[in-house]
Amino acid sequence: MEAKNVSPIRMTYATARVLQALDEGVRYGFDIAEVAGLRGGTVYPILRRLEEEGLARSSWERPEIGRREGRPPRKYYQLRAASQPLVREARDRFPFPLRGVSDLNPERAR
Amino acid sequence: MKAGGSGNREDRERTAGWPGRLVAMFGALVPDERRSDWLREWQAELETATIESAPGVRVWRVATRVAAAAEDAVRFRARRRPRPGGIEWLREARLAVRALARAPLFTGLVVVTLGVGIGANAGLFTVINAALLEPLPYPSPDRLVVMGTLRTGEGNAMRSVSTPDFDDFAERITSIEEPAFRAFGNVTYHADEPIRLETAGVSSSFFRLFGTRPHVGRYFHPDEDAPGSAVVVLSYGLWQRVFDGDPGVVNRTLTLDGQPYVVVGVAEPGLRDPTSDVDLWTSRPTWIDIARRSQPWLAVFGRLAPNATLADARAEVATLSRDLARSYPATNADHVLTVSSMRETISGPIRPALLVMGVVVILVLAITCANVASLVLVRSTGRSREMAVRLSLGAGRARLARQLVTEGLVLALAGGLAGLAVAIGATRVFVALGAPGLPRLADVRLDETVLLFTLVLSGATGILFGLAPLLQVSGATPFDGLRASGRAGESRRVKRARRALVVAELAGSAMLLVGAGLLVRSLVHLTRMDTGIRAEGVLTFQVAPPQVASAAPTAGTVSRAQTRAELRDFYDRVLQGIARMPGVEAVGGINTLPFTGGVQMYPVTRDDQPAQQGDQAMVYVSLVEPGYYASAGIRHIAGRSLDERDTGGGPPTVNIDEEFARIFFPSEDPIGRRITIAWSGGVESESYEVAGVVGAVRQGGPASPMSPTVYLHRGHDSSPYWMHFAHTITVRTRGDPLALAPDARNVVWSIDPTVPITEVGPLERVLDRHVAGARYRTLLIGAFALLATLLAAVGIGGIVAYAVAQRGRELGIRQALGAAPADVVRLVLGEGLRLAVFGVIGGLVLAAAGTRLLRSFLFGVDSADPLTYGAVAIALAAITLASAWIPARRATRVRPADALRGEA
Repeated sequence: MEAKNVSPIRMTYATARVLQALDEGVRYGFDIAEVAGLRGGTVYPILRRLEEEGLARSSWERPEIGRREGRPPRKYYQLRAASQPLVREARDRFPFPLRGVSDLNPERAR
Repeated sequence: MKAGGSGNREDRERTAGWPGRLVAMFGALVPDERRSDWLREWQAELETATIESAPGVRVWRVATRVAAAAEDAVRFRARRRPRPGGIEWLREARLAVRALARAPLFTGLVVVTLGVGIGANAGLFTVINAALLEPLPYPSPDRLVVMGTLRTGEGNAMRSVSTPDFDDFAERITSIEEPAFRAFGNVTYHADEPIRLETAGVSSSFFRLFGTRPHVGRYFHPDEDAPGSAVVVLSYGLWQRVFDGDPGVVNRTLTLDGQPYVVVGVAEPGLRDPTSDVDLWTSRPTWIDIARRSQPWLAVFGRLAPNATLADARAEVATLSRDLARSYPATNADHVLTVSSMRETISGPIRPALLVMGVVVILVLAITCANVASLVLVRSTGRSREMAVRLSLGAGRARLARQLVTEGLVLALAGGLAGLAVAIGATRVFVALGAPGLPRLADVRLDETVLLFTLVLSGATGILFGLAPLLQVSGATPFDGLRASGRAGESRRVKRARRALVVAELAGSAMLLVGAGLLVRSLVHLTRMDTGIRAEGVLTFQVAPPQVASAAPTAGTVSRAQTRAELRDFYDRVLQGIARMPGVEAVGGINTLPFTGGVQMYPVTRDDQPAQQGDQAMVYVSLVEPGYYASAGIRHIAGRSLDERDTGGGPPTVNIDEEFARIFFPSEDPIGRRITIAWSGGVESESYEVAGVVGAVRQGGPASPMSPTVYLHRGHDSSPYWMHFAHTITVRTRGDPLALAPDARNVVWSIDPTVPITEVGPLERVLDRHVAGARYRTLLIGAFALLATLLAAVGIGGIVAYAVAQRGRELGIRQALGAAPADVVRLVLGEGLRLAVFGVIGGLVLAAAGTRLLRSFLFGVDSADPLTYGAVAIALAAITLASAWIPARRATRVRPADALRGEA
């Protein structure tokens, strides 16, 4: 199992939580921090690293959406298919449920 | 690079406020090509947090996002360009924060000490700086000068200059440019109701001298210095208040005191007269030109010519003064003209107070530093074992030093932030308290230089003393440190240093407490002083009916001037009307209230002992209505009060006060004797018969001596016209004086609706101005003394607590061997008391030397007042015991068994 892990991502607790959150459809940075129980300052570097390694991608939402809701546009993150082995490893090593995903605004959790 | 450039600026502009700016600042750590996107993301986060949070949690949410952004930015940088130095530093800081968090009491005490010490000091220094050290808000302020006259026998009290003297000055002096004058006056303007305006008649050079630009319109042209120009410039405040900021007011004609004046402009908002605020400036008033050399009414300003020095100007003015004295001995022999710098004139009188404050600031700063040093020493000796362990495990000394310095820096930073908050608050408090007499207080802003200086000094102290444990282990081998267990080596040197610091702190607070105590005693004396007036329950207000024509009127200058008879009738009706009001016990009037500094003095002689010109005594002269004595609570001593017989053209009579009687008629009965008052500097004089004697009054306020005073009946024809410019009605009431104010106003306006009523208020308020300065000083020094004492108490508490911790084992063993808890307490308290004795004795000795500075502020109490010194000694001893008590109690709770096992 160690040998299989050729990804340059080190599977820390924080990384595992972020992967799980993304996998469950949480796409926005501070929502991820909230459900994963991590600080924002920890989440963003991990997101950036995943993106650089081609495991996740980010996109800015269209400004109209934010304007309609009276807030600035957000940057959303999404896992790419290549991340699946890593997500499995994360769930294996840290099998703890995220907290309160369902409490979040359904639109945000989408 | 490009992306970082333009996008960056846009993003920065989008989110305003400090969170946005902070994030933009952290953005500098992010690599250029990614910065724009990074900033956009975090600014969006901030906005979201701001929009979506409830007001109560918003600050917290935004702050956590800023912190997250900072962390993110640092990590971004850390990973992209691994620079060992930077990361090492970050880890060091985190270590330091953790170490400090493990010692919350120590950290809290240091941060509070630094915060309060830095903050209060920066605040106080800011006020001092603004008042004394900062340049005047005029172009080349150091070249501005003030001219005045010094009368023989009056010391350095600068008086005004007469118009002819000013004209000679303007014509002959070459070392001073733009000679300008200002003469205060009052006019009545009829807005919705009659209002009394403070005016200043000025030369056209006045505005040029102070380098000001008009807000609307223009200032005076030089040709408007000619008599009878009748043009005015409104102050910005009056323009807003009365004319609603309407620019169309320029070129309009206003009727002031029944005379037409053309408004030519509005002054810029910041234009403040160097010593006073006025409502409007008029061109050279007519009465100035009819004034004589004997009537000094002008304040004179100027600017030193480009190559001239103050000494040149003084020499030139002295020559002029001698020439004038020779040419006009009758009016100019008894005074000299003099020049001094404007800065000196403005800040000179308050310099002693500021000097005292400066000493206070230095003392508090020293105590703050001593406290930080002793707290840090206490902590660091406790860590010498930790240092020894780390050394023996292979840590380099440089590495340990770096850690200690980092801890010091983190502490200093936290203390500095606390200090900033305190400084902002303290400055507001000092300004709000009003600091009577402090000029230009409205311009005060927190002084960053001072803040930084205090921070650096106290921070450096902390860091320096923080390195002490390193010194302690440097001589010994790590093994020594490891071996010593319970009483982990505190060197004699450090112990002595700590004690010396506490003794110094106590001495400092003893000095401050003595100073504060003396001031409190003075204040009590001051407020209990018998001024000769019973001010409580007295309502006063000023009325200014159209004035009587001047002695030598220029045709048409005063349109509705009332004759003396008309004026007398007006006042009679006002006084009768008010006397009929319910709640009124007595009513009278006086031309200028005592304690205001406005009571005029004239030379007075006994008719049977004529004195030489210049040798006459200057005596206060007031015009009164007879009811004044009863309403102001002045005692009747002998003879009769002035009454109807003493009005109009009847035989001239006066009342004198006890003090006048004592000086002029030491062992005789003054009733029926005659004295002469020299009006107009001896040009006109009049002989008066003394009709009665009344109680003396301290004209200059409670701290001044009883002052010889002569009272004339307001209705007598012999008083000069300028004494009738305004009159203050005094009403003794049963109950709250202010409650009668509306009725009194109606009485006046039912008699003449055109008469302005000003200065409405209780008589106590006039008296209070004299006490206000003393109260402010006492409050400030008292607050700082308490602050210092608090810091010293913290210092003592810390030292004793530490000693207890160090001797835990010993104390336990003592108890195991049968010592009662009381013995332990006594042992521990003894340590604190010994320090207190040294500190207090040292402090009292220093105070005896230092309170000399205070001497000019002390009133009715000697600077070596034994009561104050004794009280301070006892108070400090009590405080020492109290702060040592807590750790002493803890010492008795050491369980002997634990102590023996070495766990205490």
